Amino acid sequence: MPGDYQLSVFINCPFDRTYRKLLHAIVFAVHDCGYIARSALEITDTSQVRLAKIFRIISECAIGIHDISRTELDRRTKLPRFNMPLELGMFLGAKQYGDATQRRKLCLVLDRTPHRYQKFCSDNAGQDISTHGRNSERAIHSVRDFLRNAAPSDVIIPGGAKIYQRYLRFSKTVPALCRELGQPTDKLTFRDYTGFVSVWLKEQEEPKRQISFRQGKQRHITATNA
Amino acid sequence: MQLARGWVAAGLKRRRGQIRCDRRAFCWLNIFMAPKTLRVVRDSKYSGSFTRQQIERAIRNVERTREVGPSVDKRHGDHSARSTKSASRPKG
Repeated sequence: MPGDYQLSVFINCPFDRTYRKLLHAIVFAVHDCGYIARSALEITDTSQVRLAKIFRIISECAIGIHDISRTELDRRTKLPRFNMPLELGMFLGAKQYGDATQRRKLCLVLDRTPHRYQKFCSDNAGQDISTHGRNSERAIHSVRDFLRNAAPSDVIIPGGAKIYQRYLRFSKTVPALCRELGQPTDKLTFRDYTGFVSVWLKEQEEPKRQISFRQGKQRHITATNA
Repeated sequence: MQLARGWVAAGLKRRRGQIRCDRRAFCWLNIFMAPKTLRVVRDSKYSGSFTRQQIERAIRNVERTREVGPSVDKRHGDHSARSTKSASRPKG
């Protein structure tokens, strides 16, 4: 069975409100494919320098998903946001100069449109980049297809359409879940969200088997009674 | 004896090209192909503000209210429909 390193996926993407839907979709897809989502948001230790945190998480993840779609000019400062390309560079550096395990890292780069990145990050031109067009369904499909290739061949991973259906069902449940737990939906932390996703996915799998077994048993009982 | 005859007949047929696929290939496939297993959903790396039990309980409560909720709403809907009907019905 692979260890935590093999299953950990570093998610490098914007954390603002406008991107939150895509972030949630990507995190859901990662967990539904049997992996563990990791992000710089999971550590709230202020004594640690942000860059050190990111370096540590990158070293603990075999897989990276980097979304550079929000590399654009800030309206106020008129300067580009370069956190995502920087973290992508850190990941590629770890892969290039790290030890044997770090060299086996895999990464997926996501952007809005196919050739946009070549204008601001032309050194990446040799790499195949997936696009999502700011659409959750497309993002889930690209993440799923990438993780399918990264996973061992004897493991079955659900299809993109199935994951997206499950994601829609889950996202409808989240507000009610937050209400039940007394947590405002807009203040849901990354840790809380990943916790919800993993428990919900496990809950969805377990009861189905129990119900079918019970139903079968009940039918059998009623048949014998009759 | 019959089994041996069958094998000989199948061998001859295979030689002649009358049987294209080897039945034994299925056995070989079963032996050498590793069984596929569905992916396992993993726990999140860190626990959040809530314990696993709390989340499980909340999910069950939400599902229960969802199961009960629509039927109550329907009843309400029917009542309101009836009341509007009765209200709009012309008297006399």
